[in-house]
Amino acid sequence: MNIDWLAVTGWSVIALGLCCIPTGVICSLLPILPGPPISALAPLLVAAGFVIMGTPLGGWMWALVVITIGIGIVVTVIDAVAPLLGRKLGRSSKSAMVGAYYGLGIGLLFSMQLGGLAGASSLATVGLSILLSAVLGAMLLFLGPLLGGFIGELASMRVELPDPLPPPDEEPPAELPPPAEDEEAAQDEAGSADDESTDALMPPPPTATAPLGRILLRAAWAGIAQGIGLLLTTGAKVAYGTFAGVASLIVLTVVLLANF
Amino acid sequence: MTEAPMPLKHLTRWSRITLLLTATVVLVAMAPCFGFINWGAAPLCLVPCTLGTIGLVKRGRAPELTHPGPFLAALIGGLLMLVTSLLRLIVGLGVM
Repeated sequence: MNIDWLAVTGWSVIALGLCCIPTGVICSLLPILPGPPISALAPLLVAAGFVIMGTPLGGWMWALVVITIGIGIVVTVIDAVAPLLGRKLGRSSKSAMVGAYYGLGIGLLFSMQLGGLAGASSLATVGLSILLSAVLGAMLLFLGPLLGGFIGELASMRVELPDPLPPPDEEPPAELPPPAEDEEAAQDEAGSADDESTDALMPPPPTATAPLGRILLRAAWAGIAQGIGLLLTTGAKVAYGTFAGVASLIVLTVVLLANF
Repeated sequence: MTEAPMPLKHLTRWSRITLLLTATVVLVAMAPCFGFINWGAAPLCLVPCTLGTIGLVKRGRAPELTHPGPFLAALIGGLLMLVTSLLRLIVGLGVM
């Protein structure tokens, strides 16, 4: 019995590529795991499988593969930059990011369960239940990261104690920095310091004695910035995973119809 | 006095720890077929709520040295997770 090892290898690579489609989407929903690169592998592996088998792919199919990989690189860069941008804009802490991830997880899993409402309802109310499930699910999915970021930011707030005074026996530094030469130079220095301090949109975190309303407002701002950043990033990753999956299936279908 | 009184420092720390622990348990309890965990998660949500409330009340002793943020987070987060957990318990009929 003759085994066509090239065909076996080619179809195995194609099967591996098809497995990358759901894996990429699932990894896009979880932190740390690289969803977009795995999704980008799917059309590449499908094309590679046909190349191994010696099947011609055609210019349009190669263009589709290259475009999909290009978008994957852009989404990966956005995935790396967007959380940092959200943290800078909202001046939020790492706890806000952790909270937003918890909120996303809870919202996502809970919204999945709401389909049970429709399943458990009677035939007369099934339409209403599906509508209710969809609205509630979308609300939970959207509110989860925002509330999680808000709570995470609140939990990270702490009292900033002043630096302790140096011990009395320690000698002062021998050379002090030279004073500014004239008033203009001093004003320039002050101006640059002000620019740095006003770089972010929000003032520094409120002190412990600040009114509760101000503390809550500050945490809400940081939580919203972090949550929206996470929602946009996750949405882009999942959308790209779907797009890469569709592209892989298009390549597979077109090549199969044309050559087999 | 440059540091918060020791009980308040412990309360702040335990508010954060119990909030994180409760969030983890609630996250697991949201998974499909794990709804029964909410029977334990719902009472657990009361722990950060209680610690947060006690912290906010006791904070009056040293308001400038204890930040209300962690206590507020424990109180609000605990209440939100309690509501979520109870809703999930209803949706899963207490089992699934």
